[in-house]
Amino acid sequence: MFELIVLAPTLIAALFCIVVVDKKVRLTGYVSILASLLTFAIAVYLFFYMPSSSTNISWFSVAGHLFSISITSDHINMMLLMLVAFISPLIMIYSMGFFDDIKEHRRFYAEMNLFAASMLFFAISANFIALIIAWEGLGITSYLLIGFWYHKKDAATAARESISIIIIGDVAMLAALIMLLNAYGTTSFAYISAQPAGYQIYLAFALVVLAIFTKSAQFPFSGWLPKAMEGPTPVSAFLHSSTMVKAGVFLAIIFMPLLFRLGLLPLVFVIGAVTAAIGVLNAMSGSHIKRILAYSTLEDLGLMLVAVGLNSVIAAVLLFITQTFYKALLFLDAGSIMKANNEESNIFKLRESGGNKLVFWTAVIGVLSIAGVFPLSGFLGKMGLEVSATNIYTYIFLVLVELGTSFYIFRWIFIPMRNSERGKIAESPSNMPASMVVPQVVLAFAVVAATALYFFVPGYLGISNVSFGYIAPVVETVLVITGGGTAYYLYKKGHKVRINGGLFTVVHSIDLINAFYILLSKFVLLVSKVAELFDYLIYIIFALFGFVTVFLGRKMRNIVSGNLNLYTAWIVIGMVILIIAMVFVL
Amino acid sequence: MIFFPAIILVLFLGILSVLLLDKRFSRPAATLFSAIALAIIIIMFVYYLSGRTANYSETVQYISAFGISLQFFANGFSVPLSLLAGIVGLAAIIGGNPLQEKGKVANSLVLLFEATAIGLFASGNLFLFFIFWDIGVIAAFFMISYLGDGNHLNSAKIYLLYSLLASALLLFGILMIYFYTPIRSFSISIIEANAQMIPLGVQEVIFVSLLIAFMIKMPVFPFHSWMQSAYSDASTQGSMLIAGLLSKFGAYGILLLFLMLPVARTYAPYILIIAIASAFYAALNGIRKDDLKRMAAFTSMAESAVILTGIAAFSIFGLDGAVYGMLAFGLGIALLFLSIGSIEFMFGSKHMSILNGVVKEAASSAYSFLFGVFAATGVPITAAFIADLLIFIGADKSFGVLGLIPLFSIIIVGAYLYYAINKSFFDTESSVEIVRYETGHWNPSYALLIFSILALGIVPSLILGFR
Repeated sequence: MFELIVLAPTLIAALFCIVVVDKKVRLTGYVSILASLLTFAIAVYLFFYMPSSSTNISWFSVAGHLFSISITSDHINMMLLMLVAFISPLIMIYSMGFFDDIKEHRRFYAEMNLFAASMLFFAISANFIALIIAWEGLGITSYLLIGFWYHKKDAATAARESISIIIIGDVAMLAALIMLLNAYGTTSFAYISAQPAGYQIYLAFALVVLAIFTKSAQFPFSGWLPKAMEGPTPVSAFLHSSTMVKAGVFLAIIFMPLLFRLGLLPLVFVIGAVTAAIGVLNAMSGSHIKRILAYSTLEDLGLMLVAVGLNSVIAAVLLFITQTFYKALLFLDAGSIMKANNEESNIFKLRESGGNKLVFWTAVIGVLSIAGVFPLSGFLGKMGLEVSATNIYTYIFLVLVELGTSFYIFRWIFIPMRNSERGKIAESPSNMPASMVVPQVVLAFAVVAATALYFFVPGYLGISNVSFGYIAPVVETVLVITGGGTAYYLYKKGHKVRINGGLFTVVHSIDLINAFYILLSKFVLLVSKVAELFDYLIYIIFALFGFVTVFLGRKMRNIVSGNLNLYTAWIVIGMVILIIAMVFVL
Repeated sequence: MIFFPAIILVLFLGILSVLLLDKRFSRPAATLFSAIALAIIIIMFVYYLSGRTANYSETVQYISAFGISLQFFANGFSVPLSLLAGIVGLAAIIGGNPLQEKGKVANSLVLLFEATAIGLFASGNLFLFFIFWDIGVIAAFFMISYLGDGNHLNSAKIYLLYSLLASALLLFGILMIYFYTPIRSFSISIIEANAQMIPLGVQEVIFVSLLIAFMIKMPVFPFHSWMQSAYSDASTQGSMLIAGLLSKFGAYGILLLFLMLPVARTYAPYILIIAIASAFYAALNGIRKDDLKRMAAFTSMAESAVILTGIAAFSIFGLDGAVYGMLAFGLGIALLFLSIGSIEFMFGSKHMSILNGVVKEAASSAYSFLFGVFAATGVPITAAFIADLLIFIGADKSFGVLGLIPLFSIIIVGAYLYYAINKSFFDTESSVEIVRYETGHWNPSYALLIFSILALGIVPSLILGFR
């Protein structure tokens, strides 16, 4: 029950943002920061002092069946809660400096608080009824946030595309919830996880996995995530690091044993691998500073699901945690760099950091971490994954992905660096407000410090310790050096190669997915065209009854023309018919 | 207690005062009486809720020779649906007609329709049911023909023809029930007790004729051709009431049909098939519409199909869900139509291709529409979520996985509604010119509807604690 208090500050702050008068709009930011810090404090308390337990809060009952919202303070849930609560104050602080226009604060902070509250609620939910509230809450708040700058056509479109895909998962999740409720009379995660495989549960979890894929932007639902970059950068940082897309992965981690028993893990593995490949390929050739990171998120999410697919909890969890820090950091860096360069987003035109050394060096830490350089936390995730590879093909796949990762991420930093040295842009760098720099520094420290998780996470989650051995770290380092070196040679030294022709199409596979969607929507439109024609046909058929009635009426009208001779004739004819009838019938 | 006669009396007093008073006092008077009615409904609600009285009846003798009396039931169906009628009616009066064009007629029609709806949902015998049904049909007819715009005369004609067919079939069905039930009575409770004694063949005839009558009103595929033009050309208040209440007449009728006739339950699988067809048919047709009101009309039709699924499931979950669905979808669709009407009022158009960047000038209407879309797609903490949940639990229990199919029409409904928002409301790069400036009259109505939707979504036990 106590866990619910963690939602209170953000919800109150959201309410405050909605009702506050325009004059006090500056307060919304401070209130939100205060609320998120309070949330963090509560989360810390829960994390360290709350015994692992779960509570049912009854919501309503129908026909003796009680619908309850179940919340839990399990270790893995507290871990997610901690992550969200740690990232959200940083994002809130960063946003203070990020938005130039104070008028935007009110709506932004209101939506952001609701977004955070949804994710916090997701983190503590322990049955499907609680889950779906958080799940759809995330969907609509992310819709509002992606379309925050709705005056831009691209942003509005990106928001629509994201919600159109998210709603598929929402409906699938609701259907799964209903099936599970009818099959077991409860939707508690703990109870359902322990069930044996069966037809009903298989079908329900096929839908859950579908919902996970839409939420975590897995193939073929991955198109919306890169486009979601049209939202403000703090939103991207939040959405990609600890909220929304991580919700799907988290659910997969929770249900990993059940998915294993149902035999759905191979599907998760394959889809994760395809998504990771799409992410890496597109990131290698991208030129939009945030979009490269978005593709990188696709890769991370794909790899997390690969880890789930390999049935390796530790790899998935390590990747899950470490990705939060370095991705949040990199997005905040990208936002700062863009701001320093007058909102320029093309890496070929950007300067590294607008002259702010802190921004640059925190970005370097983020880059090294995501590439998997030894003492930084990103290394842990990569290692966990590589040692859990079960066969040689998986291993080769992971090695290739790793090579690609270190290539594109060094390319991401080298190209703006080169531009800086050549002085490509003459504009004077704007001063970075402290509210933007401080969160980056904090996150950079977190990235470094998170390496210590290696010693804590397995024990905390009660999983057997993993050993990386000696070969894997060496291989990893070689891969980083190879990838980074290639990027250095090509982009820092200037031996730039252009990717074009057929290769470009393959590499920009995200376009292929989008083409697939366009085709799909065309098909639906065609079907709807048929439906519309059919609708018209029905209308015509019913109208035909009307025409027939009117026609008959016109004809009948002549009978009552007032002509007495005609009337007499009709009477005679009628009499004759009657007499004949009487004669023959009687 | 005689709550229902009191509510109807108050509303009729409202009509009288609106017609007698000067034009200036038309809206205040209508608002006052409608608010009093809503207050009585809420008092009744609390009264029955606290007493947990099921199936309480209120009787006033009318034509005692035929055993016809003004009999009203207060039960788990009528009280929540009266609440719907009270809220939608009040919202329509406050916000639906900002400039009070033809104000006297418009307001009195809304009050009349509200009274009719409450009377119909509460009527304890079929005679009363039929009378209220026909008054409602006629009131709605004038909202289209006299108060509507566009090609309203033609729409009203089509609407009336369909409605007359429905009324004829309804009367036929009611009389058949009356004459074939061993104890001749119009009383629903007596019919319920004795209907199994009606010969099977006759039951089937009654079932089919009443089913078609109610399907026309809901509307359900393939009897929906009157819908889009009627919803589109009616006045804003008319659209709100027709979509929010009149279509629920049909749904409530089918619910009664399932309660009364035992044979209906054997046809439940066929009803499910009709519901599935109707849901996807409506969703697919909604895609093609440029007129936002027509789009909302097909959304309403898809929602009706969901309600029909719940009724066909005929379990406690299904029926509770169906009633909840009528309430939730009625409020949601009224909100959608009110916001579209306000947007049309301000920008002179309700066509997606013409509207652009509405949110810039008409933020409250645009956000209300967005909220209406959330409500229509069943986002949690809106009432529609509870409705969807209960209906499909019932459907899954009765029909297995097949019962869940209509749920997936929400994907298409959501897709085109969000597309409309994207095209017409956001994306302010080029915005359409304002014809008339915001009057703000609709804001209290938005608040009322949104508050009700949220309240029912967050505290479902308000309604569900009832049975």
